[in-house]
Amino acid sequence: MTATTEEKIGGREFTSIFLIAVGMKLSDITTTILFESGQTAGWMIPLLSLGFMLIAYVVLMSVLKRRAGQGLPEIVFAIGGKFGGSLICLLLFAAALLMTAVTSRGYVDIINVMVYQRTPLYVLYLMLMGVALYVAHRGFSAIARISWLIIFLIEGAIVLLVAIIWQDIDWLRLYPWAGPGVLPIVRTGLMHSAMFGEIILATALVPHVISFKAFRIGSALGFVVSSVKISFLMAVYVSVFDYPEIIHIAYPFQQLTKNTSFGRVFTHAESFFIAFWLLISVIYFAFYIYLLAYLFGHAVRADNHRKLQLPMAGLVLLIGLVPGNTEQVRSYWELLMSYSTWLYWALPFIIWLLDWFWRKRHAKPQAKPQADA
Amino acid sequence: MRNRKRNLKRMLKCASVLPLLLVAGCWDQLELEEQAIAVVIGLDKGPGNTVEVTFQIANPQVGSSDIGTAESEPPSDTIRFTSSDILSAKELANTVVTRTINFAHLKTMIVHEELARDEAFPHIAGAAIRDPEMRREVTMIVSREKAYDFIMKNRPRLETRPHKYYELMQQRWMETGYVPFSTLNQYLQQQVIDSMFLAIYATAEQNNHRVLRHEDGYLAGQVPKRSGDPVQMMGAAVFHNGRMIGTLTGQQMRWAQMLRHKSSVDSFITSFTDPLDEKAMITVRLFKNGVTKIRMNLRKEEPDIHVTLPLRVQLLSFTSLQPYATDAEMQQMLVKHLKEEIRKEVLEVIRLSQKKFAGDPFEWELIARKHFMSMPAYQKFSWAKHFKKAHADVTVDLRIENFGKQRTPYIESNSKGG
Repeated sequence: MTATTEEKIGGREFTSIFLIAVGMKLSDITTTILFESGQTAGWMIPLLSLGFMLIAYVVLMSVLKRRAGQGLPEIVFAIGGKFGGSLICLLLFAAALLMTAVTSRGYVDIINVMVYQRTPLYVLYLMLMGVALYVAHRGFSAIARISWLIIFLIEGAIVLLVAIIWQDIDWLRLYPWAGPGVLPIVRTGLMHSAMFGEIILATALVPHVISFKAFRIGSALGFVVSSVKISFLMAVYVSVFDYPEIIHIAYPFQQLTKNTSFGRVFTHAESFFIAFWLLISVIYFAFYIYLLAYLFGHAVRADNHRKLQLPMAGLVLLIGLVPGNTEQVRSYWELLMSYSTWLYWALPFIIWLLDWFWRKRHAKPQAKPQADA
Repeated sequence: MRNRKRNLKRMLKCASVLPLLLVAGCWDQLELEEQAIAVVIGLDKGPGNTVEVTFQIANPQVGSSDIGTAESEPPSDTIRFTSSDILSAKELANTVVTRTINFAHLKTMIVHEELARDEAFPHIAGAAIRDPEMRREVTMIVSREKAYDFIMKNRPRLETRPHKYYELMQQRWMETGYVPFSTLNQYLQQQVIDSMFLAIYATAEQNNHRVLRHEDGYLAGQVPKRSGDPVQMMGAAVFHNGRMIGTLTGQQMRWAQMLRHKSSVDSFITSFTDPLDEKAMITVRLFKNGVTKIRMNLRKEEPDIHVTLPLRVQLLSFTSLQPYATDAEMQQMLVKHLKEEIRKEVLEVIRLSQKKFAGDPFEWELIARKHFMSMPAYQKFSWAKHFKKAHADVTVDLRIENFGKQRTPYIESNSKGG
């Protein structure tokens, strides 16, 4: 398989992929949807969601730790047999595919609504997927290296954005701090923990990372920093736009960049930020296309999962074009979120159980030969 | 041989990428030459359910080095259309204008007072913001006469280009505090139930002015001036639930800004009566010294609000020519007098908004929100209802910082305290 021949990547490159791929959610429809139920306390949801997801992650890690160097697909095939392995891989693949389709459609919608209104949707979609496919085809290490190259630029741009919008921020707008109330917030946080489902999907890529320790630190750091980043930016959105205006706004990040200017001379700073945004969205989807092909390739035990990237990109595009308009995209997103939350929650426990059975079964035959000898 | 082939392959790849630079924009490509940049739009009430939209389109050649080819062209052109909303008017404008109307540099929106008071206005403004070209940072000005007349009459002699005029005026608003700094963003934020919004009030018509003792107690149109540009911007239009309900004078506006916990203006020059001389005035520069502290007790049916206004004063001139700078006793008296005067003026603004506008233009709702844990609880409480009944009290924290660059007055006053 090409995965083994591919260059292994280091911890910092791995971390920066997640800083980009997960941190990206601060600029898409995720925040808009979270504000609707989170109101002034919307910023707490990413933190809560990650907190919940980390529980599942820790369970999964306990299995992975025992089989260091093996990725999720290898493990599920080992412990679940051919059928179980394929089933779990396909389930993960389906969740990731639908998520990618809906998210990418959200991105294309943003580009369509905010920048290119007269360009047909499918053309924009085709271009985004085309470029993402090109990057994905370079391989995982290429995606990782690009991420590492631009990560400081991206984070710098976000810091710059917050710095120039600072005078419009009024933190008092975050009150009342509990938004719709403590219980609804916790519930929304739990229901949307699939937002960080990548943390489960990411375990498929263990063999690509130089060491298991690098993987563990990289993924944990990437996700925690990203969720703090998303949460902070969401707090900024509320304190600039105020509740209830925030729930009327379709794309807070893009509207925020529209409000910025560098001094009195450069008044249209959004074009600066949109360039960065487009750049990282390409990396984001390149990562997803790679992951989809990788998961599917393992599920059907194909030899070269790279050849699957083109059909994957096509599939994402086809599914992404299904929703009729931007509001339907939102409702599909919500639906998908709640279902895939169950999946991402249940899988680690199922895998842990399978692993437990496997160890029980294999403990005796291993002990026997020793006793005989 | 293989190397050459690879090189050729690379060159072909490059060659296929380069044309991408030419197709940038796809269906949305814009030719710079084909843009008509609207810098100001005016909104008037049209017949029936329509709006009259006025576009002031800048001529980019004026003020640039390219002026040679367009010597006889004016700096801007103003056209008015009647349409159902702003966006359809934009398209309709192309029946007359040769270039595509572009809102990307739109900075100012002028609204006729009559339209602002109309119940349709929240709908018009709310609908306009859907257009991605329409920026939330657009400044909102309410004009007493028709927006069309306002734009037509506004011909500042020293600023040929209209966008420069508003850009510079905006800086002055920040300095003087005579008008609120009002953007569409703020308007939309405070369009919710029982919320107040202050917009810039302006007029291009001078009406009967009487000279007041306090130079900031005017409303637009009352400022005593002769010649110059007819446009005056002074005071604020008060909006309640997205509709205009009244006005504040420049002085009231300044105090309203100072009462906000985070104000866009932190210093201005104003005058007070002299405690020692009935006829004389004292001109001071006031600085907001830190944040306005607002304490509330919302447990009661009639809540208590206590405001501490920290101020720093620079004494600029006093026509009484009393030796304030050198006499400590006189200074104490002066401080006490200023505190009382300010308190009186501030309380008057608060009372006015409680009685006349029945709403809170000081953004105190943000402070009130702090007292609640959840949004439903806050909404049930209804801040606007309680604000009307609230007992507000103001403490002025005042310190005289300096007395200008003269220590003793030229004429020695005859007696101390005289």
